[in-house]
Amino acid sequence: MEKRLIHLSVNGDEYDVVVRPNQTLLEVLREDLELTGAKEGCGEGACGTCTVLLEGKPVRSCLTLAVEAQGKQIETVEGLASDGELHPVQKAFIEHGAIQCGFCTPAMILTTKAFLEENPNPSEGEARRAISGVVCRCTGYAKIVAAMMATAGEL
Amino acid sequence: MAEHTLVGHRVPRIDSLDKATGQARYTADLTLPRMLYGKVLRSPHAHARILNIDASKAERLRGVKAVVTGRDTAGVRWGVFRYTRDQQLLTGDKVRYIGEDVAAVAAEDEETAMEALELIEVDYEVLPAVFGPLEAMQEGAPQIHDHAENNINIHVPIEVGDVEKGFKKSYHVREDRFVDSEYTYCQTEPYAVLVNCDLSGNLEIWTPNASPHTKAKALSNLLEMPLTKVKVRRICTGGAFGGRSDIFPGEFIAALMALKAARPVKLVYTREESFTSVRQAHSMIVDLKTGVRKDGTLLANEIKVIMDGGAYSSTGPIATSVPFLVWEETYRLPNVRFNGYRVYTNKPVRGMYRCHGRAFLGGLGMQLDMIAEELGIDPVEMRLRNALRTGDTQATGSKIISCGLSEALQQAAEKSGWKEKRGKLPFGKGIGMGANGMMVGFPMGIRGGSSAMIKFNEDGGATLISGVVDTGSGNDSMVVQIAADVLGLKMEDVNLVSADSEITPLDQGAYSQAAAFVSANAAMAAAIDAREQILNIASDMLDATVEELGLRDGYVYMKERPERNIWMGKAIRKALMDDTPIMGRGSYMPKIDQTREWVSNPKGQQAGTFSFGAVVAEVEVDAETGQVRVSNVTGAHDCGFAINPMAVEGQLEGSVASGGVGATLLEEHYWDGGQMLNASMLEYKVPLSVDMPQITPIIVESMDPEGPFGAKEAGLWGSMNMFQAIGNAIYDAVGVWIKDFPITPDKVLAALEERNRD
Amino acid sequence: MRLPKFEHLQPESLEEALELLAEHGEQAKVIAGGTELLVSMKHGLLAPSYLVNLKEIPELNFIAYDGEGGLRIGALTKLATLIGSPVIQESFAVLSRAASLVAAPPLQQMGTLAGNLCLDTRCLYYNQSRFWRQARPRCYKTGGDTCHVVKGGNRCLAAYQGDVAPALIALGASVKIAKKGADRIVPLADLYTGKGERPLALQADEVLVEVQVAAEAARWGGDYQKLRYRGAMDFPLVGVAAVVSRDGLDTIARASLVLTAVSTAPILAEEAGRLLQGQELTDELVAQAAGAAYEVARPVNNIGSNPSYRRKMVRVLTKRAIRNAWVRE
Repeated sequence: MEKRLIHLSVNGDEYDVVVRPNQTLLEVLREDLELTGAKEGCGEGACGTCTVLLEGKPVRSCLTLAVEAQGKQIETVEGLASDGELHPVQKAFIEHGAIQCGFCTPAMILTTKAFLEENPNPSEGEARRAISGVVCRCTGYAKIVAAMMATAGEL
Repeated sequence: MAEHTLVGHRVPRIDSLDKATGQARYTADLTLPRMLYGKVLRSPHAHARILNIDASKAERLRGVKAVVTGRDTAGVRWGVFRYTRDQQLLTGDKVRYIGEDVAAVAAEDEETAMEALELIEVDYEVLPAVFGPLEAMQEGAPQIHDHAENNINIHVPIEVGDVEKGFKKSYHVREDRFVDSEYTYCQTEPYAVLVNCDLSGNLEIWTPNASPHTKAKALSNLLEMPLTKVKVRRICTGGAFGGRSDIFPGEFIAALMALKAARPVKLVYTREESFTSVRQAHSMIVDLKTGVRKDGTLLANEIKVIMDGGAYSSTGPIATSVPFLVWEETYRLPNVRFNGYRVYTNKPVRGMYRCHGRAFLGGLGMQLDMIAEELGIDPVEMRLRNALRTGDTQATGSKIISCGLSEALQQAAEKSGWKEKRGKLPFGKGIGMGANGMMVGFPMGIRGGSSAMIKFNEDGGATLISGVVDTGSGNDSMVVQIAADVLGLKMEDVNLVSADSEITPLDQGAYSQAAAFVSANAAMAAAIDAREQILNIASDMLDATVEELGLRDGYVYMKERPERNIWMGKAIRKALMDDTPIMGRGSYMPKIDQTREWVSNPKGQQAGTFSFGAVVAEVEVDAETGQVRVSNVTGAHDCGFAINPMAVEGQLEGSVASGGVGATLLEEHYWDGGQMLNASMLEYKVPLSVDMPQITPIIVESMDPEGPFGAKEAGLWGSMNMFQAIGNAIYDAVGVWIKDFPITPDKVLAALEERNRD
Repeated sequence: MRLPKFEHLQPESLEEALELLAEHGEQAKVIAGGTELLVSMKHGLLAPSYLVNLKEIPELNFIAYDGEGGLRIGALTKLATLIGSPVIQESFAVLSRAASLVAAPPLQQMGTLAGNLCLDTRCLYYNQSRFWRQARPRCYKTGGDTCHVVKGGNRCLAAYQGDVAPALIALGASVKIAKKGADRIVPLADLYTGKGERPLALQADEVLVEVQVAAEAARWGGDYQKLRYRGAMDFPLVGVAAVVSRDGLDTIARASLVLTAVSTAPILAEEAGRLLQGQELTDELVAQAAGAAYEVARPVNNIGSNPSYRRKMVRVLTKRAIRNAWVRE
């Protein structure tokens, strides 16, 4: 199995990383780039805690090969705040009490960001649907949805 | 105390910034220099004798640095109680469930560790196995532990009053059986542990946990190391729900390997291992006999429950008792007999769960509705008639010092439009109620109390050192909010050092619903102590009496003349110069009967106080498919006082997911013998955003005389009464009682078909 | 969970991809969205030496429609693209509805049309980790000679649980299958072998490249009904696609009903369609057709929920699908 030098663009930073073809994007982000905001909750694409944005869209990084991400824009939760200013979605999650244990939070925030950028004024049903692929075991989703709706129109 | 600037307000939690930015670290996120990766070899048999383990090939594999088997454990057994020491955490003689820990490997990388596992040869003699508690109790059933006759692990008998007489005097008596299947915590964070050891024999452990002190004490016993050398560190925990309190094989095995290899070892479980090889929730068979007067007053209760405990005791005595205790914490029970049996089977180990006892508490609450209907009494009336009140004494002797149950029942009914809806909705739509009380703390001996300290920096900022543990519900933020409020500081001016068994004082942990009552009381006492010291110093400086002074925004000021003030930093510096540095110190031990014991003496004050709540659920039932959708939940909870209402609401909302939609309608494990068929996030059905109802939280404040600012608990708001509310709502919607949890569509449809046949 | 070792091949054209498949044969697997394949590989169910990645081949990612040639969709079209396509929403609603009920939005963003059509059959005794499977003898699907679901069963009964295939089969879709130097077009229904162990009639060197639907189907009404316990994520426990066309005001000209998750392949409920054809829609007729659909469903206890319940639901969902399809016509 040949190792390859690939180029990754994560949160606007450029990285050259040597990877094996069987490494997932999640593994490379967490182990090589030490960006541990994306979590492995199941490794099978079922829980969504590994969500990152690839070309602006939420994907399961546990089911994305690192080699496939070459040359694409990757965003993780670590890159959302800029110039010391939190992203509006991050602010809303904090202010609305949408965060409890925090394990799904990076995935929820990234999914929300991508969703609201595409659909700035959603209905509550649309918001619920957008996060229906990410499991939260603490909040019952109520305050997450409230934070999403509060941010709507702000992005 | 004067007007509060922080306590009682909706404040963002102190941990949320780290969590929103990806800076919060969970165990699997950590790496240490020269860290090894661990993997565990697990039993593929439900019941087998281990004849031999040959790990020599694995030991020789390049990159393998430690292999451990039961031989390395000297046969030490773990049990939460002295009388439940039945589990060798790395099994030696026998395996008792599929997924049990047999051997483990630590290697330079995960692939090598996995390869090494394949090289370990285990000779098993497969033994007959038993998978249900009723079968396990029969004569001639396979014996799982030598000491347990008929595989009975725990028997809790409780009898109060004269039960026979109570039934004789009853106008109406009903008997029902309720059952359920196994379910699971399914915290989003899979189990993980990292252990570091140094050459002086210090062990550092990071693992998602609800009580670092409990883990440290157990590991110190098991590894025969002094407690001062075993240091469980603070780490973010991705949810607990009761499932992070006990001691698990993982931390013991990782410690053994770290000691053997003299290098750090990280062990991260797969989701499947987290399902099978940590803890899951009990299934139960519950027989209920209830007698009432004509007016619905409860006269007699006879309750027998048989719980499937799986292969080992875990928190068995607690788990066997809690559903009954929750029942006696809700209603006046003059005559009651309880027999709880926890039975060993060849299945994974069961522990306490936030939604423990759905067949038990769901059953009792549904039977109450059945009786109410038979007597023509409204279910809300039925509950109000029997509800405990302030000053009452529960069946086994606990005094109620504050109780907002009646108020919760009334408010939940009123806000949900109960009167307009109950029995009046069109076919397919229904409304139902549930209620329960909840112990705030368990009898836990020396670990039942909490203590805290506060020190100050010369710039006026403070550090609170508390044993409080936060597994996600907001306890860290709560104690900072309290300390900052008492000290007149901003929350960002108070640092928190918490949940480290070496550094922070003893605390019961995020367990038994006690943090807001016990840990917060200790933190408040420490803050008050520090405040008094500051005011004393300042009274000299301001030439005023202590009574004339207040603390706000980092200043000590005269209440009558606020322009006369000094910066708190100044008082702190003066105290240092005077050699009387300000050090706040506080503790709290709940007023319980310390002789009370789960099995041998279940009588006396069992918790410092009790919380109470009522929920109303509204459902829509598709009578063709049997599918139930919960459309609305209105919950009222007497949390004593809401320190942070936003966090309190969050607990109800979470409970509606886990106890309501999850435990009541969706969650169960499928089995083939002892093998779990759905140990995955796809096939184990936890509720998703689209499955959740609209939720209306109502906070009832009974202002507990003992609680900090009157607070009790909010963690179990709704999670133990959603079962009955939804079960009762389904009856209101389509007229069938489903006595088997979870209430999946096939069961609803079968009940409807049966009714239509009759 | 780690992936086993493999070489990753990244062709830039279909021709190059077919070349690679011809060269590596059974040792190669095509990866599109990866949402199923990589899970199977993590579980050790598949261990290809080569992954031929189709994601960067633009010629496989398109949606084209004209009034005569009909609808053509490239195999690598993301489900999300398909769902968002106005022409599919307006003229082939059954297809966008079925696709919108697959998993959840992020997985629709990753998953492709061909990936969904080519889903492997599923079973609670098969979709498990290597450790899990080691606890019992090999079943038919893992190369053994037993079935853990139907004791004494003589073949694999793993369930086909795709949502999109029934919708497309009901629309009469065909698929274009390519290999080095040759193409073939077959009815989509023929892609499915009905064999649980090997559910797809695709050779190792072949790739499904395009889905085609005749223009006339744009005028038909359709609906897809899906039974699952949660509002997202889950595979269907039962799925029913119905497509109907009208003859005049009240008469059904043609009806096609296709079931999923109740057998080893999507099932065309022919008798049900025949009963409807040329008739006026009445409650009684709908019930008869639903009864005929029920007759051909063969769920077994291998994907959660109980099979007799799932079979009953075929009846309920069929009724609803027919009613909705008729209204939309």
